[in-house]
Amino acid sequence: MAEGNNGFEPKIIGFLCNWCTASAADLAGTTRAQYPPNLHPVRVMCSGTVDPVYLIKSLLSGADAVMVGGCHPGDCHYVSGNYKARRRMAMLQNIFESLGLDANRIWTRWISASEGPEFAAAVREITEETRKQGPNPLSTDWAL
Amino acid sequence: MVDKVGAVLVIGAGVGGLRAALDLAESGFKAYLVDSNPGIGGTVPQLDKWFPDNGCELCKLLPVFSRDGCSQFCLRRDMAHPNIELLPNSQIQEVTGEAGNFEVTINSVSRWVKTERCTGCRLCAEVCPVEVPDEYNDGLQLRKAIYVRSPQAIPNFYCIDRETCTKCGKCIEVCPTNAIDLNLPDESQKVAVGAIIVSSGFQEFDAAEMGQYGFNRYANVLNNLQVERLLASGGRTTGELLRPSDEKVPKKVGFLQCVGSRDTERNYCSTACCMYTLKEAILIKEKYPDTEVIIFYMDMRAFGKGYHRYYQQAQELGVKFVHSRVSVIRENPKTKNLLLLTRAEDGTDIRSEYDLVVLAAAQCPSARATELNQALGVDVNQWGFIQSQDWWQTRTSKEGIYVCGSAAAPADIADSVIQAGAAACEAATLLASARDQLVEAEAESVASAASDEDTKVAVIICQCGEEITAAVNTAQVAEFAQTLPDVTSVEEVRFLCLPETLEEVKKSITKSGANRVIFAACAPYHYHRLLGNTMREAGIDPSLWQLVNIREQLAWVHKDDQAQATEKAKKILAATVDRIRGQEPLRITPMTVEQKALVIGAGVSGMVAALSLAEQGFETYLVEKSAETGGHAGEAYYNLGNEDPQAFINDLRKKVKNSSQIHLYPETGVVEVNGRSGNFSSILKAADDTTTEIIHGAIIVATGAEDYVPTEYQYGQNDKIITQKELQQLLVKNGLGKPTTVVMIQCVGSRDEGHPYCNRTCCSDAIVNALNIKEQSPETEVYVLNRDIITYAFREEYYSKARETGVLFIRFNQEDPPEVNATDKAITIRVNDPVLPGKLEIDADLLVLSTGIVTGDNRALAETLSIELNEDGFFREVDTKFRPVDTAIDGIFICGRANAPRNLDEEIAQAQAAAQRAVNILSRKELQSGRIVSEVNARRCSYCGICVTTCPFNARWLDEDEHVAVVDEALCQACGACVAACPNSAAKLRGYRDKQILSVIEAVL
Repeated sequence: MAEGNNGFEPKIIGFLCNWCTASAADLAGTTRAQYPPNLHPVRVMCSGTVDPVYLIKSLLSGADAVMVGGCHPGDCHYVSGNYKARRRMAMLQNIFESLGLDANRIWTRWISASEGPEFAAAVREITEETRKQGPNPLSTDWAL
Repeated sequence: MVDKVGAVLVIGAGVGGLRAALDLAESGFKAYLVDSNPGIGGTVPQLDKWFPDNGCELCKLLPVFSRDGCSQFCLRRDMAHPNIELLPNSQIQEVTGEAGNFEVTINSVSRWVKTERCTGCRLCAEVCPVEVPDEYNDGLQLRKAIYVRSPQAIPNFYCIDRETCTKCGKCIEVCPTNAIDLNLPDESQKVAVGAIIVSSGFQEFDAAEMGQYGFNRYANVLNNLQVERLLASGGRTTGELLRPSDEKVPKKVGFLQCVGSRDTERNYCSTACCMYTLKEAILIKEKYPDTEVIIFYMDMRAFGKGYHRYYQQAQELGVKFVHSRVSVIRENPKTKNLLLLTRAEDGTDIRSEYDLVVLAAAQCPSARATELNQALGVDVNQWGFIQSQDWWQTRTSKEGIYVCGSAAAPADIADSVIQAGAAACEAATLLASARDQLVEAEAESVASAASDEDTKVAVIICQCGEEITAAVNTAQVAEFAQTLPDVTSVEEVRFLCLPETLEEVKKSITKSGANRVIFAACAPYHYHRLLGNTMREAGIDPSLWQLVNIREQLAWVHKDDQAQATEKAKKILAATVDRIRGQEPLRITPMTVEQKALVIGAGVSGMVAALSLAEQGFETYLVEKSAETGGHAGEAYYNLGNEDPQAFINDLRKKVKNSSQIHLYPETGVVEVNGRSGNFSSILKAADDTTTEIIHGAIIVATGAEDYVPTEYQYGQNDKIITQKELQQLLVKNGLGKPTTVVMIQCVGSRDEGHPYCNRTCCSDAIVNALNIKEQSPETEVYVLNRDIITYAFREEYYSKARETGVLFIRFNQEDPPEVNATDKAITIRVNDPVLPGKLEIDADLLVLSTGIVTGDNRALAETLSIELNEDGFFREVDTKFRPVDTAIDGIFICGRANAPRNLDEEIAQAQAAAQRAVNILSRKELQSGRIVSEVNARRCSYCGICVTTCPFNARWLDEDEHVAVVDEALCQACGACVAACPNSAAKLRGYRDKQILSVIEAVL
C-alpha cells in the first residue's frame, strides 16, 4: 500500500481495443503475469470509438482513473482509429487541466497483441500512481 | 477433360499460406491449410515489429466481408474460416493425379494430446522434467517436452515433442481432463484437390557452418532472429537487449550482412536481411541511443516501397555503415567481447571490438523442402528453391502446382503476400468451373425470438478444473449471479469445453427456455466456433450469447487475492448481464454485387489483371488512355533472363483482343466514379468526348508510371549521353557500333532528394545491358558507377557474371557523385575510386544513365476514386505488407508501377493478386456485412456529415433527400469511429451502444 492512502483500493476502468490491447491482456494471462485486480477491462472494437463521455461518465460515477488501450500509432486495424483516440485523449487532458481537474487520472497506452508483459506493467503502474493520488474527488464532489 | 475439384491444398501456414488460403476461401473454394508446425503463422509470430514502419498489422489479412465467419481477433492467435480446414503437425506424403484433380496423402503426426480435451492449463508442462531449447525463442530459452509453440499460438493445445519425451507419464497423472494419451496414433488421410499452392517458406542458414564467426561458440554472437526475440516484449528478456554472457546492454553492436549468402556456395541474395537488420538497428538505436550500431554490408538493398526512407531513418538515428565483409571474429575470453577483423575499401586492415555481434543468416530452402518437392514432382534450381516459370513467378514446372514466397526465392513479407495472391489467382483460374462446388453456404442465423418474449438469461460459469477456482470462488459468483435481473438459470461446470459438457449445456439451456446466454470462461478465441455451433444447435441467436473471460484476464493474473478476484468476477458478470439484456438480435443485410470489373490502364499489369478476371468468368472493362496497349513494356526488348518481352506482350494483346469477356476502350479515361464496393457506376470519356456509363463491382488501378527524364549529367545536350532504355533499343536495332568505352551511372533520378525511393529495376537493366555489350564486343570496356548494386534473390548471379566478363563496378557516395564533362568530341567522367587514391578519369564513348521512374499526375484519378497517393505520387496501399494491393476504399485495388517501381515479373504477380482480391468480391452474388455494424438514429442525426469524413472505409454518406446520414453495412467494419465523432449520439454501433457501455461502467464501479 502506498503512503498516506492506507487501505485505499483504486477503481480503474480500462477501455481496451479488440485487436491489440485486449489481446495483450489475454496474453498476460497465458503467461501468468500478475497484476493488481483494480482495473476493470471493457472490450471495445477500437480505441477510436471511445467517446470522451465514457471516460467522464466513469470518473463521475466513481472511477479513480480511466485508461484507453489501443494499437501502436500506425498499426490500427481500422487504419486511423488510434490517431483519433490519441488526439481525443490529449484534448480531454487539456480540458481537464484548464478546468482545474485532475488530468493525471486519464491514461492512454498503446500495447500490441504480443506485448502481454507491457499490459501487466501498465496496470501495475496505473494502479500504483492512482493509489498515490488517492480517491477521485470528482465522484463525490458535486460542487464541481 | 478431368472433373475439376473445387478445393486447393496450401502447404505452409506462414503469412503467404494464410493469404492464399483466405483469398481462395473468400472466392468460393475450399482450402486445406497444412503446416508441419503445431500452429499457424510460420516465422511471423516470432517477430514483434516489421519494417518499414516498425508496426504490426497482421490482422489486416482478415476478410472484410462476411467477417462473422472468420474470428475477428489478432491473427497471431487464431484463424478460423468456414472454408479453411487447418491441418497442423502435418506433412505431404504423396501426390497423384493431375491439374484439376490431385489426390494428396497427408500424414498428421499425433501430438499425443487430444485436442478436444486440452484446456491449455499448463499443468502438464509444469511437471514435465524434460527441458530443451525453445524454437520459438530461437534457442535462447528452454521449453518442456510438452509445450505450446508460442504463448499466442493457435490451436493453443499442448503438444508433445516426441523426439525428447521420455514417456515418464507425469503429465498424464496431472492432466485434469485426461487429454494426454501417449499411444494416440498418427493419422493419414487422402484429400482430393484441384490445385496445390506451395508456401513452405524458408529455413535460416545455420551460421555455425561459418566457423570463422564463432556462432554457437561465442556467447555474444547471435543471429537476427535471436536479436528479434530479445527485442520482443514476449521474449526472454521482455524486450531488453541484454547480451547473453553477462546480461548487460551492449554499448557497441555490429551487424554482419550476407552470412551464408552471396558467396561461392550460395551465390544468391537473401533479399530481406538488409531490411530486418535495418529494423533491428533502428529499434536498438531508439531504445538505447547511446549504443553504437555499425552495419558491415556489401550493398544496402533497401529496394521495396518505403524501404529507402527507412534506410535514411537509420542513418539519421546514427547507425553507421561500413562497406566491408568481416573476415573473422575472435572472442576475448575474459570480457567475452568480440574482436572483428576486416579490410576497409582502401585496403587497410581494421580491428575493432564489439560487445555483441549479429549475423544476418541467409534464407535457405527448408529442411523438408527436398522431400516435399520430390513428392510434388516440381523442378528446383541449383540451391533447392522451386523453379518459377519465365514471367510467371508463381507457376512451377508442373501444371496445377503453384508457389509463393521464399519456397521459390528468398523474399520478404510484402512480396510473399503479393505472390500468395497471385498463386491463389492461378489456382482459382484453373478451377473457375468448380467454384462454389465444395464450400458451405453461410450458416443460417437463428431466427430466435427475443423481442416479444421475456428476457431470460442463462449464466454458465466454467471452473476450468482448478484453474479458475484457484483464484475465484465460483460458488459465490454463481450465487451472486442468481440475484441479477432476468437471470433465470445459473450453472457451474467443471470444464465447459469438453464435448460431453457442451452437450449437457445445450440440453439445459433448451430446457430452461433461456433466450440469452452468458459464459464466464476463458479468452474468446479458443472456443468461439465451438460455442457458436453449440448455441446455434440450442437455438440461441449469435448476437444473444456472450463470453466473458474470467481466466486469462482474471483468475490467471490475480492469483494472490481470492477475495478481490471474486468481487471482480461478480462485477464483470453483472456488467455483462446488463449489456446482454439490452441486446437485440442483430441481422445481417446482404447487398447485391455487379459481377463485373473495371481495369484502368492497359499496360502489362492492366492486361494481366483483365485476363485473370476474364478467365475466371468476369466481364471486364479495360480502359486505356493511349491508343496502344502494352505500356512501358512495349518498349522493352529483353530482360535479365533474356526472355522476350515483345513476344510476351503480343501474346497478351492477342488474348485481350480475343476475349469475349473483355471490352477494351482505347484513348479513354475514367471521369466519374460513384457507388461502393460491389456496385460502382462509372463514366468513361473517350478522346472524341463521347461518354459511356458502366456498372461494375470492383476497380483495379493499373495506370503505370513515367520514365524520369534526367536533368543531370548533361543529358539531352549530347547524343552520346543516353538512358538504359535507349541503349537497349540501340543494341537491338543498330548494334553498338563498337565504342571502346561505355560508362553507366546508376541511381539517376532515384534514391536522391527529389526521389527518395529505389527504382528497383535499373541495376538489373544496367547489368543485362552490360552483359549484352560484352557479348557483342568483348573488348569494349564497361564501367558501372553505382552506390549499391541491387540484384536481389537470383539476380545476384548476373551481377557475378558481369564481373566475370570484365564489367567494372565502381562505388561512389551520394555526396560525391561522378563529374561529367561532355564536349562534341569526348565525354570525360571523373569519379572517386574508393580503392585508388585520387580521382579516376575515364574517357567514355557512350555515357548511359540508369534513370528511375516517376509518377504521372495521378491526382485527378485519385480524387475521382477517393483513394490516396503517397509522398512520391504513387497510389497508396492500405498496408505495405499485409494488404499490398488494397486501397483504403474497399473494392478498389492497385497494381504495377502505379503503386511502386517493380520488375515486369513482379508487376505480373501483383496484377494477378489484385485481380484475385477483386474476385473475392465479384464471385459472390451478394456481400454480407458483419453483425456488428454502425447505424444511424435518424431522429438525432443533424446531417452535419462529421461521421462521413471520419469513416475510414467510406461506409457512410449523406442522403440528400432525407437529410440524414446513411450507413453502408457491407462496407462498415465496426470500428466505431463515427460513434465517438457524432456530436448528437446519432451514430451507434450495434452491440456496443452508448447505453450498453454506460451500463457496463455503472456495473463495474
